[in-house]
Amino acid sequence: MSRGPANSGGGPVRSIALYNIKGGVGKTTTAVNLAYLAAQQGRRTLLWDLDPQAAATYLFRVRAKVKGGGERVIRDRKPIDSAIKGTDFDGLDLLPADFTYRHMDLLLDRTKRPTRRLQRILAPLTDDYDLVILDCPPSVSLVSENVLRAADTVLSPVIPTTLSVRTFDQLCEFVAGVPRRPRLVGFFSMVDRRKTLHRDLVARLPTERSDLATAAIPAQSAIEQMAVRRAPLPYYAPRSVAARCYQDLLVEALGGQPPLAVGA
Amino acid sequence: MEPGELLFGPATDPSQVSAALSAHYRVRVERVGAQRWTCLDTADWRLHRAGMTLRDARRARRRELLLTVRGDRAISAAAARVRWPGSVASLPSSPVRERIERPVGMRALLPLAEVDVQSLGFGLLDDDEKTRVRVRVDQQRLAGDRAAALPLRVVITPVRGYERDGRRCAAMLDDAMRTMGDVDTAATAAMVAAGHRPGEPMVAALTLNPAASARASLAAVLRRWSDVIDANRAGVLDDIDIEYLHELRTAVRGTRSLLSLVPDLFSAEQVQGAAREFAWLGRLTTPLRDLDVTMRELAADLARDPDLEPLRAYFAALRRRALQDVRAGLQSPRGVSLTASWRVALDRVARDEASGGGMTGVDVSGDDVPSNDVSGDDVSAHEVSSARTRRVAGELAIAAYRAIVKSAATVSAQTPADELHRLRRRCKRMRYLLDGYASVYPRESHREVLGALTALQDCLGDIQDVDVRRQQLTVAASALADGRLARTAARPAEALLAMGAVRERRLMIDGAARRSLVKRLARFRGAAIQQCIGELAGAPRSGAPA
Repeated sequence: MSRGPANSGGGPVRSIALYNIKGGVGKTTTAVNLAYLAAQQGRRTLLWDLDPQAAATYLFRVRAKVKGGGERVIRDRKPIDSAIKGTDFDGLDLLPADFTYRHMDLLLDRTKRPTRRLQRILAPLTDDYDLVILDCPPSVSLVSENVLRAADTVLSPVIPTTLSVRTFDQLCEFVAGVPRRPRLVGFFSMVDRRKTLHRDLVARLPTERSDLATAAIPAQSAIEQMAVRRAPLPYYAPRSVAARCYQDLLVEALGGQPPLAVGA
Repeated sequence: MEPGELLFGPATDPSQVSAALSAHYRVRVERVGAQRWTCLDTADWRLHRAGMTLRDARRARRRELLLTVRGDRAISAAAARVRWPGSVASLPSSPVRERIERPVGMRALLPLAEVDVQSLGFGLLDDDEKTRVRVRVDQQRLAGDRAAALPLRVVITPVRGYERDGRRCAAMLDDAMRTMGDVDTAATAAMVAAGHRPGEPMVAALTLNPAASARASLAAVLRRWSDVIDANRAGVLDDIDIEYLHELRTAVRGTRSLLSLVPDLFSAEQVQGAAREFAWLGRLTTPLRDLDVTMRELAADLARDPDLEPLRAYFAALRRRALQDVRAGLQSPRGVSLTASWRVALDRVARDEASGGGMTGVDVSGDDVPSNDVSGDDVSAHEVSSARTRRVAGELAIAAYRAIVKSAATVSAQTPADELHRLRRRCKRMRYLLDGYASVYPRESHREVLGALTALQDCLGDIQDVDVRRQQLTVAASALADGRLARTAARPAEALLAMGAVRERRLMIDGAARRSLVKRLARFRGAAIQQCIGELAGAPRSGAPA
């Protein structure tokens, strides 16, 4: 059962990219959980797994295979509708990863206006979805530039350590140079409250910097269980602390937009 | 069938579906639940004809409208606090409302079947335990007086990107179990079981035998219109939507019109009596119809300008009174007996004709029958007793056409409204003739003439509607000016100005209609339509009436 024409809120489709130069900081788990929560709130949501490691695809139990591979996605002029797979959750679709995405930089480089390619690929989906979430591979590359151009908001997980904050600062500088600059929001991820530094940074930095979300994602085994259960955390632990944190983060990511009524 | 819908006989056990699925797939039971569906459509099956199925589905405290459009997946919308019968305008804004607004138009949605449903949901999984296809099994039972088991409904919904799996599943179930091939959709089956005939008009269309006696055919046409009046009476009394009254009045006017064109069906005084009674019914319902049209036409103005609220309240009060009058009239002994005695009279004519008899004495009127305009205008009476239907229908078409052409001879864009109203009445007479005898006329010519006539009628209708609206607005403005509307008009000056703006907009419609009228009249009088009229009368393709 579909929920009727998407993007029924009347506004433009929102796109959120989960991006960080570093790997293993919680991009994929955040992308999956935010996508699930947005769909639960009535937003027709598409999650595009751009990472050839295909972790998000795995979590949704979808085969990491796109017919024609990255070549077809990047270079084909046909819309990418047919590559989209429904997940087990109402209102949430997935554009799966493919191992050939590891060559995406090369594929993008061969196109005209290579930094705008993802933006163009996503354009035909505006009628189908209220929200597109991009789960990006960790790197600074042509893919990154595409993502920064295509996204309205870039969410960047930051582990509360000095080096990770420094990396986030580097990202801020990088984003500042992008012509169509997205809104960059950092958020603390994998927060271990037993560590003094974590507690200190999480308490202090969001009050000092407007580009850091107040919502912080704790380091919890419940989140690690996602890979075992192959499901979003709020699906199997909806009342957990972490699920509430993801909910808070979604609200901040969407700029405080209220949930859409289901069926609206 | 709806997309992915398979129907099996009412005796099919849901466990058979479950067993068939389990034999081929890894199956996960996803949900079990009970709900009540109310199948909805208009009295004239507008959704059915548009390939749409609309249900009001209630499950525990949740209530939603489910719309399926042929070939598309269902869409849903919240439906709290909606009552049936109800208009589309009473529904909250939603994609469902947007989709049905145009086909349903001004008709009310009626609850045509209540179905109790026990649903069982399955997910068909792949090796990664990913759901590829969802299958819902609905065990349906018609509720109410005609309670009965309905076909077992199985809906196969592939998850996006797994359409091939959905097709495989449908084929497997089709092979394993016997689907019903003769049922359109589950909703259709429910409405049929509830005693309805989806897609069929309220009163069946009439097919006349061109070789039958003209008298028998005339009686059949009038009998059908009598049935139309009866079929719409309850809808008028219950004020379900304004089309019931429109249909009823169309049949009344058609009856009066044919009686005037062919006055020798019964004796002169009997015909006059019948005409008098139907004229009474027409007069009884005219104020209500005028107000229906007024309120419909002004709906956009009223919604746009809050200063028109006193005008809306004024018309609404008038309408309530007019509805009371119509109810009183229709439920009076005169109103109740009118069509009953008329039906008896017409059935007797039909029997006499079948047995080769002549004119029948019937009493459809009282004793004190004043004369009326039955024999009026320039259409001469026809001896229909011995003539054949085809010939009489042709002669009547020519006569009706000539009457319009003659009446339109001096018409221009400046002709006064009351003079155009006379022309409009002649057009209506021809329209009823073309509608009543449609089945005996050559189809192409009939279509051509009907198209030109309808275009003309639309123009004349617009002009007359503007005239009526102007008169109503003048009366309303007078009421406002002399203080009778003071209670409802907090800002009488603004209300008066807003009414003036409405009047101006109507006058613009009048101007546009008058400009079109001249062109449409020219087309109607032109050689092409003349040739078609000749063909209606039986002339060869190249012929035209003198």
